[in-house]
Amino acid sequence: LSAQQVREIFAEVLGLPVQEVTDALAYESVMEWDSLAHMALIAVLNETFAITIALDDVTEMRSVGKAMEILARYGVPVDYGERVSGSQEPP
Amino acid sequence: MSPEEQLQMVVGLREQTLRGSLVHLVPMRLEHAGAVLRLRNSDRAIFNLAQSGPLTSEMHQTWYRSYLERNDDIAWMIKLPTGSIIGTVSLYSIGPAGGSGEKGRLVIDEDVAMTAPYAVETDLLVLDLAFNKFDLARVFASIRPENGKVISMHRRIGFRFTRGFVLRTIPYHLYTLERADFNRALLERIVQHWRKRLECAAG
Repeated sequence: LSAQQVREIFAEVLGLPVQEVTDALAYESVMEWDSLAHMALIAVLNETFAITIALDDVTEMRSVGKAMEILARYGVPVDYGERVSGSQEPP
Repeated sequence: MSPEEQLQMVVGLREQTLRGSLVHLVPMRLEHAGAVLRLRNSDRAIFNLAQSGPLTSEMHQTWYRSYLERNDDIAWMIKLPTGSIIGTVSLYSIGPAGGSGEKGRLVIDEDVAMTAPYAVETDLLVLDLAFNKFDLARVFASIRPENGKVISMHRRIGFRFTRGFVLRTIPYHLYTLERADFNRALLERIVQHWRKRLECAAG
């Protein structure tokens, strides 16, 4: 799974241009990441990767970078082959 | 639906719990005053609901008496199946079939809202009631313009900005959800996902 694919999922659910979805994008930083979108993200990630993100991780997943870290814990390693300008270091 | 039938429906719904998979909407009673004061007196609620200050028990009792005299207003406590009260919500200014109503007085702890789609199912239950039971054509929501996340959430549901207005010297934006614009499938999909999850957890 590439980091770009994860960013595309976030972009689609949040309704943001994919170039705005950096690893640093956080729940607090954009109004589009509202609680409804957060629940939709969890559902899409669970269904796409056939995992069940635990409740602690649901609340902890407050940035794209953190989401990638959490996905890796569920056996969905994210390949950081390509970087998005402005993004933080991978977790 | 005649005005008498609508009154009967409001009175009946004030006695009836709306049961979802994740939340139950329990009709508000005076015995809930403690929980209402706790929820309404958070800084966030005071800001978003344009309260002039903390709500007191006396103010709530006065409001509750006037609420019982209205025939177009239903207020609920948002309760988890475990019994915890996590918020409040209302449908008020309920007009005749084909008319309008307003969804509001929504207070739900944001940290709780981030753990499961409690707010999503609350909206689903209230909007289904508005469109299917009362047969309303549109539902309004008044939102402070600074409340970006709530505005974003309402836009996803299908609400559209209608106009600005001032309430108790505070600017608000009025959003309108026409029945045809209601993105029910989005809400249902999210709730369905979590319903399955709960069923799996319960074995």
